[in-house]
Amino acid sequence: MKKFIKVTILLVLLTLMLVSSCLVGFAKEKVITFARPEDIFYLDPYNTNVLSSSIIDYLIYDRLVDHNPETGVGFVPALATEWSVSPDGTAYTFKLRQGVKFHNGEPFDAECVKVSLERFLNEKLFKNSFWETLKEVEIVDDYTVIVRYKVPNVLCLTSLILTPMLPAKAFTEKGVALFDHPIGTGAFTWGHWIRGQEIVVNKNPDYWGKPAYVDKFIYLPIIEDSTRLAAILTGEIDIADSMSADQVPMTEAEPNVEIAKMLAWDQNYIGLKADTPPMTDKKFRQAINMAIDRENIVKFIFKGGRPSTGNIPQGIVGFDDSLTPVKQDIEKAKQLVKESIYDGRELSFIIPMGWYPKEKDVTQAIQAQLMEVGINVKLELIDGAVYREKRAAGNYDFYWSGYAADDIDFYLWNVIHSDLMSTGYKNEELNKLIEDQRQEVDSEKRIEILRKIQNIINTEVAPQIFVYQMENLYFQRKGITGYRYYGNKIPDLRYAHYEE
Amino acid sequence: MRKYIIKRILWCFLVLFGVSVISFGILHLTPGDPARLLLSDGATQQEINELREKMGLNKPIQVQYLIYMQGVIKGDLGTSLYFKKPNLDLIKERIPATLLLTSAAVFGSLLFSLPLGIIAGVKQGTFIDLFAMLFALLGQAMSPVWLGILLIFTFAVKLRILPSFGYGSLQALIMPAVTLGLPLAALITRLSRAGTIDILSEDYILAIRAKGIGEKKIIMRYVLKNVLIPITTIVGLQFAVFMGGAVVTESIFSWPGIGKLAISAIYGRDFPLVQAIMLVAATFFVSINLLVDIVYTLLDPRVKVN
Repeated sequence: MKKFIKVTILLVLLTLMLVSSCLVGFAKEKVITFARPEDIFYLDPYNTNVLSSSIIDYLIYDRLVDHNPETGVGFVPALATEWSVSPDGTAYTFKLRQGVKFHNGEPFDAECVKVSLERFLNEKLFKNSFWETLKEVEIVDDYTVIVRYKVPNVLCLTSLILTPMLPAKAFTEKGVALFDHPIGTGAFTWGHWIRGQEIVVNKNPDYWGKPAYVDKFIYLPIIEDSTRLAAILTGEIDIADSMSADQVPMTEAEPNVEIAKMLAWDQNYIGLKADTPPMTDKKFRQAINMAIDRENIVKFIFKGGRPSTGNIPQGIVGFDDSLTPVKQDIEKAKQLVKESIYDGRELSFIIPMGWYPKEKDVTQAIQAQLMEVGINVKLELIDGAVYREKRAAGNYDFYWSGYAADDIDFYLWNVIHSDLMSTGYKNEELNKLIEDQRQEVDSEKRIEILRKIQNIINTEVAPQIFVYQMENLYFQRKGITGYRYYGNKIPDLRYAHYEE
Repeated sequence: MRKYIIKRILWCFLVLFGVSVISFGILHLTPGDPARLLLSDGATQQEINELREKMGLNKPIQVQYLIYMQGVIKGDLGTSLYFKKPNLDLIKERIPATLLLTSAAVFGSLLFSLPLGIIAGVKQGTFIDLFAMLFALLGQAMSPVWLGILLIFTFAVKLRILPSFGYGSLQALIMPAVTLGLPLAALITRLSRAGTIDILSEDYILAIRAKGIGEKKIIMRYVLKNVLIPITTIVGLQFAVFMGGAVVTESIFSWPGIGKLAISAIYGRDFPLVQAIMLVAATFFVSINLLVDIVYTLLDPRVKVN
């Protein structure tokens, strides 16, 4: 027994020594560790709809243009040094940066732009919708390209931010196998990926732009919210993403952790089955709009964010800050319900489980508010796949959904114009305006059209009623600086580091 | 004996066939189209149909099953829709982590609970006995989710002596293994205690004591061996279950094992991957069960195999 105890103590001491020596070794290398509740499945930057992959893409690849890091919108040169649009909006000419090399030594040139973008012509990819009307990429010379569209296009630059540049030679040679060991021009080079555990990227010493501050960046998928919170409180990770307001009090008590928030370009709304009574009656729709207590939903359920004033979220092109949210008016809403054709039947409200934060709380609040004005709603909290099927088939009275994007066009075109959610809503004037804004090259004029559209949706109260805009909450260890989130919840972490 | 083993192996194959049919059937009968979920919200019906065609979802279900089984026999368990990699490879990547966690939990429980239960049975009514019973009660009552998070916040956040997540170090193994193994430890404690009390009250023990054999030898030779018989079955079964994926524990501690893989596959309706995991987990279960049965017959000479 005595021998056993002695051996155990020895083993414990040995382990402690090993651990402490490892820690000393690590102290010399500068590392930033970032955790999100999302795992990464696949690293083809054009063929994944998982946000976390985009975070890695920012580090390994560069884009032709970037968002203005000061304002978070607008465009600044990256791999493209200057650009111009043809008057009819079908041709975008880019002058490319010279002297840039990929991590494998290959030079960046016009061929790379062509091979990268023309993937959307030849392959079926997730991000196809951003390049639907692409016609071809014309090489003028090694450092000049023209991106040509079949019809006038206003979203070229916005789409380019989501479409990093790939190495022409390496991609032509390896195809999608390239993404097992990604090669970009970015501030970090590929390290390794242990599936389900971590992705590690290393500083690129030959980066053409400003070099990164840290030697290594580690991405960790920590799905369980409490574990992610624990990890940031102990300092095992440096930045924790997608935190919730409930975790704030505990974190405020910890002096070494800072809480940060940013308004996401992300709103939740109630979709209406517009061709089915009583949703066909404008008075009924207005009643719903006035029954909802947006202010208190934002204040008490989310403790952050803002009430929606229209389909365009704050932060993207077209947002109108002169609008105010519809105030709850129970009496007026009750009156409207009485005047409408509503017969009192139970209306079905389909809600996808787990897609949106606090979906149960919000929809229950809305249900109670609607009940107060005499509208009888049944909440159907269902699995995501079942929800998608029901929604596509139009099998609902209301559906709960969110819309997040860099530009409102995607929502207008797919959800309204193409009626992907089968609402049955038909408004010729609206559809015409949506077609117009897609092709209006003059940005001032386009904003006018977008606001007109928003106005119609707001006055008609169809086919969706926007409720609130979300906030993204993230925690960081004290002293980290140099990075920023964009409204699409993708952070640019290239220059994150601890202040000296 | 050999006949017995062969008969059992044949029975295993039958069970595995049944599992493959059931898992295949259930996944296809639940509502929810995997093709629709795989494409983004902006997908048109045409794109969905194209993907269904590509995935072979439009063929009659028997044909889909046969195609699947043909592959399985060759060692091809399909390709994951999300990872776009062979399922068997993805599962193989996770096996070491799950094996480590499972072994630590199971052997840790055994090492702690078996002696505890036996001593409690021998020294009935003493403090050790009381402690053992309390331990058994709490261990079975505590929810692993609650326990896991409580451990993290106590030992990682408050005391800072253990890491809150991860895989790779001995320290990272401790809390997940405890969380996973505690219910099993509670069970083993109860069983070994009850078994010890039973055996010690047998007549033949009285006879052996009369012969003059020391108490310690009695415990080591007679009690231990007899108590191990039911314990082996339980432990074996639990080991097999855990190998299929300790889903809850792995999720809480971010442990990169089969359980965590199964969860993301199920949520994403990654059909091929879910099927592959079910088949692999069932194979583990059935093989370990077979092993336990064989060990059982070796341990207990009273069991006749014919």
